Amino acid sequence: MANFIKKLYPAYIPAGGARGDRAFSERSPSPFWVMVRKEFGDHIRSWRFVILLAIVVLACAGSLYASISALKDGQSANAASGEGGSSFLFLRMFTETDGSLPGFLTFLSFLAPLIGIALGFDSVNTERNKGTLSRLLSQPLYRDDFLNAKFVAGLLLIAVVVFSLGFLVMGMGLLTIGFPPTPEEFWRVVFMLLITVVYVGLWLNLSLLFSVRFRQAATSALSGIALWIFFLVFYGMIVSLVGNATSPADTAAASAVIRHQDLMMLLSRLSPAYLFQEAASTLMLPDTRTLNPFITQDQAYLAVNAPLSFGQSLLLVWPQVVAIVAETTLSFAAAYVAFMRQEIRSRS
Amino acid sequence: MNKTGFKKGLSLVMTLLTALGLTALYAPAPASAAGTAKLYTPYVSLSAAPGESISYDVDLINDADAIQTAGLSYQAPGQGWKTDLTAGGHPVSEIAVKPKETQTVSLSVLVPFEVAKGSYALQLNAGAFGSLSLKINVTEQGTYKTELSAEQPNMEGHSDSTFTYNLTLANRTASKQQYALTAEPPAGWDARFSSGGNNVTAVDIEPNATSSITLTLTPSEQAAAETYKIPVHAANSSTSASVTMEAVITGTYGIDFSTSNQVLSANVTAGGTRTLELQVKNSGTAELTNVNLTNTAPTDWEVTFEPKTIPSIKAGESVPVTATIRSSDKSLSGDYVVGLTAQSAEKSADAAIRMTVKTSVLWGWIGVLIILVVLAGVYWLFRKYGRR
Repeated sequence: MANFIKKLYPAYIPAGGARGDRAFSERSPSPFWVMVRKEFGDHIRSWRFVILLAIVVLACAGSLYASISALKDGQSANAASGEGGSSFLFLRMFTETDGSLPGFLTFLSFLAPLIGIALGFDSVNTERNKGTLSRLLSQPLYRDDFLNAKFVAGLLLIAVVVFSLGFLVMGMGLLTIGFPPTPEEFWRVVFMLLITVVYVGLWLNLSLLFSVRFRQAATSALSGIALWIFFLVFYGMIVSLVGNATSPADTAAASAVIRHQDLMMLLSRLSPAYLFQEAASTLMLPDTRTLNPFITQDQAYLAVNAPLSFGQSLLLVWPQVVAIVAETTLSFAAAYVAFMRQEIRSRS
Repeated sequence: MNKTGFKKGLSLVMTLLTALGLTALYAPAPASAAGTAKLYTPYVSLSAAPGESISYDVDLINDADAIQTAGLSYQAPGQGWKTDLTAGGHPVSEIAVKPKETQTVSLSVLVPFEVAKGSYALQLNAGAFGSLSLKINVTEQGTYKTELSAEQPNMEGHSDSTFTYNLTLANRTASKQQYALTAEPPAGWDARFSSGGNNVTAVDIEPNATSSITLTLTPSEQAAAETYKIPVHAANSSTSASVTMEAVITGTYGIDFSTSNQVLSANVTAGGTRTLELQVKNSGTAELTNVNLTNTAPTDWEVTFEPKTIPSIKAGESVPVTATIRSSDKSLSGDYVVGLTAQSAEKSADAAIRMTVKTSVLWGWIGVLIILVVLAGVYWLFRKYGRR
């Protein structure tokens, strides 16, 4: 990090030396963007990131292979049975799988949080322990620029990774199935990737919070991973456990069953991972008309089995999107408050 | 009198005659005496209609001992009377009869068409046998004309059915005729003549022959319910005949039901209403009465029609109907089918409207508001902690 601070100097120490700091900073990049750029570069060059990226890319390539082979089988089966199964073929590339590997979306929802955790868990506490934090903050810059830069650089990197992965899948799919996406399909994929970025941003913010809160990087990483495992693995189990325990008797009225189911859905949706899965899979599956597990006979009567338009699908998952965005923002706010209220000493 | 009785009578007369002849034979008489060779036919006076053919069997009786030979000739009653004298299937002009025997010649007369009513005499001369005067009463005024008749000139059907009339065209003239066939159907109708399976516009008919002609009428689709008279002519420069066909159209019932702009899909927000401009059209030719408008809508949807019942729609006219569709607020977003039916006692028509239910955007904006509130909170944090 000392290297980084040296890089900061030219921004503040003018070559001529005569002019003031303020006058100079108006012409050169602000310290915030210098920090963002530096942070971004550090991330990209780190081994940690390369390893993570390799894992994610491998997983996505594998899932793409699985989905394409599933699509080929499905298409030939459809052709044999005389059905035109070509609707939203491009989107099915992201969700369908032949069973050997989970689909792209499942992999993304499982592995993408790891990127966020890996990028953020040691961002503050390591600098603090090395003493570079106090040196950095002795420079003429706002104190919150430090945390903001960490967040923005992380989010930018996540966006780059997620979008390149998404477009990689689109491109490889285009190459393999030779079937161009319709504009609607394209926008669905783009919006799904945007949601993914925000969702991974949530994990980045959480790990930032942990890195502010815990002095030891290992503790911070562990708490991030624990939370990740909790939400992705155990939370569903806990909800189904609670559901089984509180489920109404078989003889209960339909309204009681529905009320119980609604409660279970509410519990599930407390998990950001579940929210993300709902939002992303609904965008990828235009045939989804409701997120409720129950459709009443009244609602299904005379309904035509037809896909929703992009706008309607988006409206359907809009609460989920809002929740993810709000959770991301709130977790950032929490990290921000925690960081700003901390005392920063020269070397503790 | 039956046939057997007739024959009995005939043989009785013959026996009598033979007896007479025998008596004459024993009597000393000259061979060529008039009493020994006679002409005989039973029906000397017959009635016939114009165009009818009469055939006489004339017996030449030779009571003499020698062969009698006689030239045969006849005198027709007038011009146009076609007379034939045959024996053994051949025309004969001279005949020989053995002694004590009888020969029969056949005299046939065709009464011409163009003949006045009255009595006509036909004279058969047979030399030594004497002559025979035959009387023919023409019972009615003869004609020289063409006859066109139909078995069943009146037919009934819908405007979308075809009418097939069987006509008989008879040439009651003395010469071969070619007839041009024409029909005068109302405008928009199609008339077609066919003979022997082919469509024809003219037919050739030999004298005194008939031809079967089929007239196929295809009414106009818009033919109103009434009785139509269609004159049919078979004519050429010298003769013509006409007959009038009747086609009774009972009206068809047809109803069309669709939106004014023929678009069968619409959007509606969940819980919202949508007004559709519909049209009920009477596409038949008969009036429709009491057209009720009903619907098959998803549960908790409401469809109201204005007007709910149309008392009557005249043929070809259409009546605008406004349907107000209110969707249930529990509807899922996506497509539903709303079936609208216009039903009269006679006929009904359906219009299936594909309603796309859209979620209300209100909650979308509330979501945006929530995000803005959160962002404002973060901004407030920036102000509070960041830039001191």
